Amino acid sequence: MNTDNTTLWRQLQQAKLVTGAHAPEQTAAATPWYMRAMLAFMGWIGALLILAVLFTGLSGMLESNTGRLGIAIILGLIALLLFRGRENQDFRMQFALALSLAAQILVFWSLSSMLLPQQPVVAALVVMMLALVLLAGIPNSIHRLWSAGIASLALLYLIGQFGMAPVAGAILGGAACWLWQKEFVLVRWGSILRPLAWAITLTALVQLSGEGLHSLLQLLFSRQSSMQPELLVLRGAITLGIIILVTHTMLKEAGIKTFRLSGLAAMAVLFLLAFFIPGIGFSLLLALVAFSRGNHLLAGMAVASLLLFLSKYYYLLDISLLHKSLLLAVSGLLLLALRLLIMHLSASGAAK
Amino acid sequence: MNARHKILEWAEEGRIASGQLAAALKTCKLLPDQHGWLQFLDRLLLGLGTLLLVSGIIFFFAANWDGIGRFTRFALVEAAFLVCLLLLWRLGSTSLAGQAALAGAVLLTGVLLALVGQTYQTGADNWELFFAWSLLVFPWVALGKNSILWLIWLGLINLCTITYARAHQGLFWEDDLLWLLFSINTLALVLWQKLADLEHIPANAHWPIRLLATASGACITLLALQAVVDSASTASIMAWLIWLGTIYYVYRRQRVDLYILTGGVLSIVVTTSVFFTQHLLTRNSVFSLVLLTMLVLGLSAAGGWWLRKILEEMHRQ
Repeated sequence: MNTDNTTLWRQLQQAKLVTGAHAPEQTAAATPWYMRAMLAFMGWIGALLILAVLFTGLSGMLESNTGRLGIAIILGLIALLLFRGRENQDFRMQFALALSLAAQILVFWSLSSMLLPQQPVVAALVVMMLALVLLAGIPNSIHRLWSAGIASLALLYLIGQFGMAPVAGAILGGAACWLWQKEFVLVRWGSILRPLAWAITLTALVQLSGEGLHSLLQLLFSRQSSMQPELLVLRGAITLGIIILVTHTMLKEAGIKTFRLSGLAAMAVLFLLAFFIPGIGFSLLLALVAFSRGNHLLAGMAVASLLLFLSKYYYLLDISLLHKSLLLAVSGLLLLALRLLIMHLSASGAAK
Repeated sequence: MNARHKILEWAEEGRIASGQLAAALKTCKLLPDQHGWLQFLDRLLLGLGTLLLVSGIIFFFAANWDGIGRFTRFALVEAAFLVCLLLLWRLGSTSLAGQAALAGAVLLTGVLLALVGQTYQTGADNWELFFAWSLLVFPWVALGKNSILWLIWLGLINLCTITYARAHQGLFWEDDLLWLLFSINTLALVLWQKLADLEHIPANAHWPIRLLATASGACITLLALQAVVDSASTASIMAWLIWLGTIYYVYRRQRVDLYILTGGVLSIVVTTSVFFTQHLLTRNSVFSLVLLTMLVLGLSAAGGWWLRKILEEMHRQ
């Protein structure tokens, strides 16, 4: 929906939500996601070319960790100075982005040779802290998305290092849903938190696409599970907690009491889907959160990921095709039954 | 500018109290009301529920294939097919549930054809399956007037082309397949755009056009890249340039679609970068690499600057 400043401001003024006779001056238009994706991709190519230049011209210095870190610091400082310009000075921003990415690659390379494989947790923590500092400090939207992505991947790695890889999808999925629900409350830090929410969402989706069906169903049907029982319980508890928290908030905002039949039915179906078919369950929950926030891009992405998870589900080897077919058919029937219940309750509510 | 983004920006600047942000979005009808929620839940639960149920049925067939007799297999698929047709007849093709039933019938046609091919070992190639499938469902797709069904149908045509080319590799040059796919998707794009103009379809419903432009652009860019890398025929380069010119004229002069223009810019930057890489990197020096880096960054910055100029123009309108 494209509406001019004045019309929007007038609507808000009439509802006494803003003060001031005139709308603020028009700031630069928001850059659409596809433009940012293109600029980020070209920045990445530029970073690889800069590294190629360094390898060709300074190969001696790059052989030691000190040399690599020294060059990384110089590149990083130059990038920081260049980032201070306005975001729409394109060549400057592109160059700064390429320099910063190249610097970060050199830093990651040095950290991995210094700390891996003996201290993987320390390495991941350092990478995560660095990424968060860059997320907060560099005022460029594409760079923020990159830093948020690095921080999310480091977090995922850390979760795995603590032996909790099978519940990583639930943790990250829950964090993503929570951040999106808090978008309005934490709006003052929106330019930092929004890229973080996007990065955690994408990381969760990637993680869930790789997670098998380590679950009670696997235990029941195949008499064995590759997941320890404690992790199974933990995953169930985290999933249930997220579903209750997220659904309760949405229902409260919609003016519906949580513990009415429709609310309880919705929570039960969401939990079953999220626990037994994590990718599909999480995508459905994300679609609901996105819709509640009026975020059509996120809702579209959630629906697309639903379809991708469904096609990938065929190839999961944890349980047989027959059991998967039963799970899908039952899930489908439950969703159709939930739809009928909601429509019936709303029709009878309207009749009263 | 997107209204939601604008209001969030004002809230971030402190012009709207964070506690009032939800109220501000509701005032501007950017958050769903109860009717909006009901409509969304109706569509989402119906679509996803149908999809999971149909998928479950398909998985069931796959799991029990060896154990099910020939006639039982046909009976099951045809029964599902008849249920879809019955629902379509009862609900009508204009309702959402009717459209879902029609989509189910379209997909089950393919399942039925695959079953025939597998059961009777007709020796048919894959491309014949996709061809027959697209031919049989064409009347339904035409009558259904649903963008998703049309895209599924175009997907079948593309698959038919790819499998035909693979089956007849001796008849095709390396880039013939790309030319075919480019022709199909560009023709579909032209027809769809014409229809959208005639029926005055709003710009925010143009996502199928963007999808087709992406497919068309990907094919012609790959052809151009092949020509650059192999220093082969200039026909691909000419076609690429004509495609770019047409995209510029239609989506910059006649109307503005920033997504398609971004795709065009990306195509130019990638192809030109590969061209310079071919001609500069042979010198194998630091200077060549520096020059190449600046060229790539400069091109992408120039492309970004131009797109941003167009964005600002749209923002001012």
